[in-house]
Amino acid sequence: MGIFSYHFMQRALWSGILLSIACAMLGIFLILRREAMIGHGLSHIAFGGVAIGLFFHVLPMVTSLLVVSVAALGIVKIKEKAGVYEDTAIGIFSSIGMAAGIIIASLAGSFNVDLMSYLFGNILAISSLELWISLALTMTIFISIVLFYRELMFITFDPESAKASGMKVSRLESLLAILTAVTVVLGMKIVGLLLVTALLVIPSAAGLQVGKSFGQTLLLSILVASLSVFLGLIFSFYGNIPASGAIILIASLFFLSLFLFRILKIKYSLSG
Amino acid sequence: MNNQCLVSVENVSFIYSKTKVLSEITLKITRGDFLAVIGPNGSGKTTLLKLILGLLQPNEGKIQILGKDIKKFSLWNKVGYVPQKATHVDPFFPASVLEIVAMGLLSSKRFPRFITKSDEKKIDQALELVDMQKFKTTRIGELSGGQQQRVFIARAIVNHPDILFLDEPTAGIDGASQARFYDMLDILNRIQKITIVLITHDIGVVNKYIMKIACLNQKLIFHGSHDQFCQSSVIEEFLKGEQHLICHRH
Repeated sequence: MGIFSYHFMQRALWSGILLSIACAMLGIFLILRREAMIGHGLSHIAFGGVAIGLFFHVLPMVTSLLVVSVAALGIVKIKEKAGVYEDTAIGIFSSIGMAAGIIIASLAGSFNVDLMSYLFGNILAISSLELWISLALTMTIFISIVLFYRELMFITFDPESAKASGMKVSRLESLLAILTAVTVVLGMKIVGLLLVTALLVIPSAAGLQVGKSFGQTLLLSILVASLSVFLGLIFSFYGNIPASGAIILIASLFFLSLFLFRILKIKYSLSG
Repeated sequence: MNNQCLVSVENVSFIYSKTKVLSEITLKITRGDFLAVIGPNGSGKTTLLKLILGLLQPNEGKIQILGKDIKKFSLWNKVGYVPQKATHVDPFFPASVLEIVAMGLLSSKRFPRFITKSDEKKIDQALELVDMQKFKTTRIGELSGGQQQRVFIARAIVNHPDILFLDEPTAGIDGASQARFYDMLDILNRIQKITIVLITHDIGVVNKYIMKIACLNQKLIFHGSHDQFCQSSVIEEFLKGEQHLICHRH
């Protein structure tokens, strides 16, 4: 296709596909564990991480990865050890991250434009270095999920039985939190911190509408996410609209279509 | 059948939020037992089971499974567990019956825990035992409560465990399904030689299957054979008017 003969579009497509695979693989676990909003919380925390990176002239991806990973583990540990509800812990950590980000941005004053690019993302401006970092992070997520696939499915479905089978549930929950942190950081330059949660949630929610098994749902989610990125980039290019918004709206259309398909299928089977 | 002790609970007490839930419980479960743990709501039945499985830590006392202290126990493939909430499955959870039963195999596998062809044979055998093989590719949420419970039994026995723990497994399941379910447990106990520990508050339903009874109400009030239970005056007082119903075997 003509538009993908441009190098910046090739980088955009590859980084978007990599992100979509990571998001879809994690999203299904997060949704089924009722933790869909952890991505939202972590993206707020990442805002603080980006501000720190820009303030100290360090690659924001690195500072964000550190800050978000520590916060993700903090959320898991506070929930586990201090008996605080997870959404409360997310609320506390995300507020701290956002507040810190605002203060640092205000103190520095001169990097607000850079900060905005992380909030809204700019997939068309992905550099080669960022593409390679995206590849490394996605491979980390992919390999981790493949290696711990059955264990993660077990702790998602029935954590108590998983624990009674000798699974290290707490360690697996921490792994999931760290992988989510990595995904949020991966997504901040591509679709932006404000929309990365959407890519974590919507394709997996779409897959859940029709998947008959966990494996099938996972593959469907990856397909929906990847197609959303592909079509979103095409619409963005020809329609001259922001790519991140186009990607998320197309993913939403996939969700809506599969949701209606499921409803109609139920209705048809009941009346038939 | 020998008298090998599979589970030993010695002077175990458990306190939750300053309330003593269990007090000085001493109990042994021997190979081949079909033991019903009974007691009123809040008597500590589920807590005792969670302590035995290492899901909770006792404040006092010692618990051993298969001769190993629970803190150091690692042979989880020898233990099957069907939790209380197994009858409250998320209807939208996208796992197939095969994927659910495969979860039971993880305790017997080394990292990375991939499911092989031979594992699939074990899953088929477990599903055959509970008469659910034709639902192998069905989504778990599409099954009835009774069928789901059979799948959870398959998950718990897929490793051929020595002992199977069930926590109120038929809560919310209709009477006919309950009877079929307990018939199946009876077969697992007698034919497959699996020791069964069943937490229940409905002794009347399981009466005809069980060999031994442990009666809890924070303390262990009774532990012995079914016949001893029927003759126990302590139990008569404890259960009041239900005694005649409980001791009637079909």
